[in-house]
Amino acid sequence: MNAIAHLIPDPVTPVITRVAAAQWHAVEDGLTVGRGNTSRRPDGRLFISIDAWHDAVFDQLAAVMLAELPAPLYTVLDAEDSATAENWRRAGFVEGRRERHYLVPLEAKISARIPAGVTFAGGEDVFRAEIDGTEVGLVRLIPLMSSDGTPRIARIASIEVRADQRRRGIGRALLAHALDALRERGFGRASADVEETDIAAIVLVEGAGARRTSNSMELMWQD
Amino acid sequence: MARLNRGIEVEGTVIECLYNANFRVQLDNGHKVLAHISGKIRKNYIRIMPEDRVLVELSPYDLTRGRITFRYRS
Repeated sequence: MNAIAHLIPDPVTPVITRVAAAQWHAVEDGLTVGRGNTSRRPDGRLFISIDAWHDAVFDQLAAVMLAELPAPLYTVLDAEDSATAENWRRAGFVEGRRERHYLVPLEAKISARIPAGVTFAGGEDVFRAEIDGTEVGLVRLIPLMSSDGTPRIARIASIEVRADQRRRGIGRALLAHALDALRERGFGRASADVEETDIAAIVLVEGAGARRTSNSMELMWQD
Repeated sequence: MARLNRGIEVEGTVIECLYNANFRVQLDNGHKVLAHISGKIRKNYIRIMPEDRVLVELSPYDLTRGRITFRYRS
């Protein structure tokens, strides 16, 4: 939006209305020039979004919404989207955690040595690594299907290895096993979101051939 | 209450991911526009990739710009 700011006339002060419990509109001359929205995540956090064609409208929507909503509030954006990040910083938001988004191509089988004594259990959406019947690792997948029922993409929702069993290659072997199963079901790719500070997870997914496609950034507002 | 103009919404196909969270989208009428992701889509962690079918709301100020407001399931 900043790149075309010189093309956009200064807006007349829009009328901002809360049109629903979680929705705000900024209207100028009968034209909706901005929208705000909130939604609560399963973890209880309240996320906010604002779309406006002009930074001044963004600021006005933010001022009205922040006055009406309880703190803390969160929003998420692409880490490369500096213009939008600047809008949120102006509204008082500060940077929180960052995540890397990865795509894992599944064309080729991933080679991984299975550590001694480890067996695999489960299947479909949850895969477990076990030693003598005791669970030592877990991979959860969320397979997404196309509308015609064919495999679209599978999200790697979590990878966990018991603390006393780490650095043995269990995570890599279990992930390779789960991705092989996906490939056999016809999935061509998987995706994963990894927190930027989680070096072990980054090494694990990159070792499985994942390539980074984008970074996201969470911002938080505390009254 | 006056009927609000929601702007022009058109369907298209993402042909390129660009820098700064922007995308090149070819609309069904053949025109190409530069579009960014709406906050609502971003908030829901919906990823946009090349070849995705999307709904684009065109900017009332510049019809070569828009925002992606919906991604269709392929």
